[in-house]
Amino acid sequence: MEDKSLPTTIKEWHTAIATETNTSEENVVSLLETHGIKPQPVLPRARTLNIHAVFIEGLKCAKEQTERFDFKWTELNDGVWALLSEGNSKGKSSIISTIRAALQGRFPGKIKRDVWSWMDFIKVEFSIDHVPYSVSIQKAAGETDPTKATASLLRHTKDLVVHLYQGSAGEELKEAMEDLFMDELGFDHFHAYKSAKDVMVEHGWPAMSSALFITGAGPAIFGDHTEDGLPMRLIQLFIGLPWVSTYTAVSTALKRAKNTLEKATAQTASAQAKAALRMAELNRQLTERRAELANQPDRVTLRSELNRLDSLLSQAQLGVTACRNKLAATRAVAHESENSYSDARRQLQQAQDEAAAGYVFRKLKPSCCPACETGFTPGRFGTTEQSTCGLCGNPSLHENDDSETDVIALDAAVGDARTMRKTAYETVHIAEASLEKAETERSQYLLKIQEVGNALSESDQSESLRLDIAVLEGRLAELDVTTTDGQVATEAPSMESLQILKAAEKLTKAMMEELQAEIMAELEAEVFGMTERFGVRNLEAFCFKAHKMVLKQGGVETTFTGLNDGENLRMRVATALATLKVARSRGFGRHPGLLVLDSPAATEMSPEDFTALIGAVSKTVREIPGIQVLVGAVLRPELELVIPTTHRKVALGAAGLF
Amino acid sequence: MDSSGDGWDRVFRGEKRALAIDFWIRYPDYLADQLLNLYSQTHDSSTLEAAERIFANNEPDVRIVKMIRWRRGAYDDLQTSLSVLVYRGLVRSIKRKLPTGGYQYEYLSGANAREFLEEAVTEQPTLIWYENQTQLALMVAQGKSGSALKDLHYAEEEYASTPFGATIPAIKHRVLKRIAEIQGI
Repeated sequence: MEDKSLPTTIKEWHTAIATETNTSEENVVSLLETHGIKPQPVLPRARTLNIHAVFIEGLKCAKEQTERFDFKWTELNDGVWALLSEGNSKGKSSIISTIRAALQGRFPGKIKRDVWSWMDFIKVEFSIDHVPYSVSIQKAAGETDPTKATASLLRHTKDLVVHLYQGSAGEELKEAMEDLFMDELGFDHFHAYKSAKDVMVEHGWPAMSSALFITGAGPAIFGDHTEDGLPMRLIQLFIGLPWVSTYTAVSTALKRAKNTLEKATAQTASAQAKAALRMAELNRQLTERRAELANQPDRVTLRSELNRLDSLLSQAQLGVTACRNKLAATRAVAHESENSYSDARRQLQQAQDEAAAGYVFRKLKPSCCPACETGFTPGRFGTTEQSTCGLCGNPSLHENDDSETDVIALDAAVGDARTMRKTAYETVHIAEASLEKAETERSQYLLKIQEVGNALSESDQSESLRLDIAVLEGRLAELDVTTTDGQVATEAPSMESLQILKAAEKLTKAMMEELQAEIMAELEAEVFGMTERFGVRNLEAFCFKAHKMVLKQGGVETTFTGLNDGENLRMRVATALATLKVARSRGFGRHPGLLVLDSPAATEMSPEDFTALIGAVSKTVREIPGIQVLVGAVLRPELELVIPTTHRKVALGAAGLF
Repeated sequence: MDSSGDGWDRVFRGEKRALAIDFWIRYPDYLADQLLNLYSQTHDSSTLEAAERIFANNEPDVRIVKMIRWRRGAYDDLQTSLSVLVYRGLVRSIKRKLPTGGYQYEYLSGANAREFLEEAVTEQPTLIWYENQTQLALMVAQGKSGSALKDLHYAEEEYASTPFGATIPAIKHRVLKRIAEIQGI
């Protein structure tokens, strides 16, 4: 950054950030708006909060006796005011707690439960910059649930009473009080970012108002809360450092943005790893598919082969048919030859039998007339030689060669038929063999055709393979695009916005720190001075750091939590007073000018120290107009010097304040 | 038969019976079928062997003498054949009146016939076939009447379903199959 004075106005601030990040002012403005960062260059004007009256009424229940009480403390103004009693447990803390509860809108707050239950009416009148307000609570005595109590918050202007809130004394009252004070005192909520839980925490009126009440020693030097660096931030808030909340907002926004970016980047890295894996897988599939496609058979060749086989098949089929027909014919011929053969044999047999029978019959002599069967006289036919005909005596029986010729011819015929038959059957066998061969050939073609057909229908896959390949290539192309871009997820903040935030933070911090250093030095000096006067021994050095205090006591470096209760309290009072003083003396600051100390002597304070404390308080109050300190303490002679009688509310003897 | 003189000492009763038996000589396959029936009843292996022999000798092809079915069955005019035998004094046919009122033909034979047959077979040995076949046919016929034998014929489906005037068909293949089945057992 160049050596020029730091910006003091909003415009200057925007310009400076824009220049630093090499971007336009519009960008800067819109980004800061997006993150809810409001610039606060104006040094705030001090506002004054004073309590004017406290009313508490109720029904006190003690030892089976009920007693109506009615406490009033009125006509309070700026200056030091005390609630005094001769001992403890006289109601001082209850009254102070009631004031606190009323201001915070949180009932019962720190009011003791039994005391709270006795109350049936509470009213606290206060003013902010001289504008009067009152907050009042009404409930049944004995009731402890604040939601069952009714509350109202009123603003009393000249002739008009404005009801700012009317309703239950529960959560809504708290919100109403918070809204009032944050607005009227000019406070903004300030934020803290808890990275572990990734949440933004808001701190408002309860945290801020706790800085106005000191009830003994506490964990924080200022206020009641130590988390998120609240003590320091509250001090800064009350002192009125400009740009504080802006810085806080920027810082918080930046932390959050960085966190989001880290997460998104991690996501991207893992997304990229996933993408790489996916690409590898897709590539593997692609290689596989391409190999498969290469192995697919050539459909064109297959089809022509199929055609060729088809024609061969039909030829084979014709061959088979021809063979079948031939076979049928040969079988028919064989059958006929079989019949002829049988016929021939039969005829031969018959002829042979007839011949044989003829021979034997012809030799017989007739014994009766063939016509009428009358018997012949014996001896009519003489005995003849065997070879002559018995009837007519023809000697040449065996010369009848016709029958023999017939037999020979028939025998020859049988032979021919036999030969024919044999030939016919041989022909049949040949035809059967031919048919078998033809059928085998045909079957082979059928088989081949089937194979080719199967191959053809299988190779349909080439289409789906091509499609797969196209899809895979497409997916790979897509993946390629998205991974080479290497974009971070869109929800994550851009690098530019991060740069702007960084620049804003740096700048705002610088601006803040400059003034802060000055103011803090003054504060430290004041606190140091006061604590010495209050009696914190051996304090050699003291300074405020961002999140803690560093002290050197008795040659030893220590922190706030290392102090004993008495020193703790005195430091707290000193810090509260010093903050008030510095804030007011500078003419700005948002300290409302109210301080409530409850029983500051209860913790190890010698009368001298106590006197010094009250004295310092008084002195500060006198120096700064408008501020008000309320003290609840045990009655002591030292107080009589410091606090005028009109500024006292005293309970003497055993009586309580109410 | 009682000796009634003239040398006739044997008688064959019934024309129908004669014709029935004659049918089995003419159709060796039908004869074989009947032999197989006998076999299945008696389990006498000789009947099976006889049937097998018929086929072994191709008799259903060679010895078959087909006949036409007439209304009264396979009727052939016996008289023509008989006259040859009667003329030579080998057989004498008579017609006897039965107590029932009907007639029956009877055929007488004697020693002449027996001698003739013996000589015939000696002289022409091939003729022994007729003797053997006749024996088989008589075995099938047993003592049954002509009507009973006719029933056997009609029991053959091919015979019974032959239209009148048509030739009675051979049953060679069926009987062969039957033999094969029996042999297969």
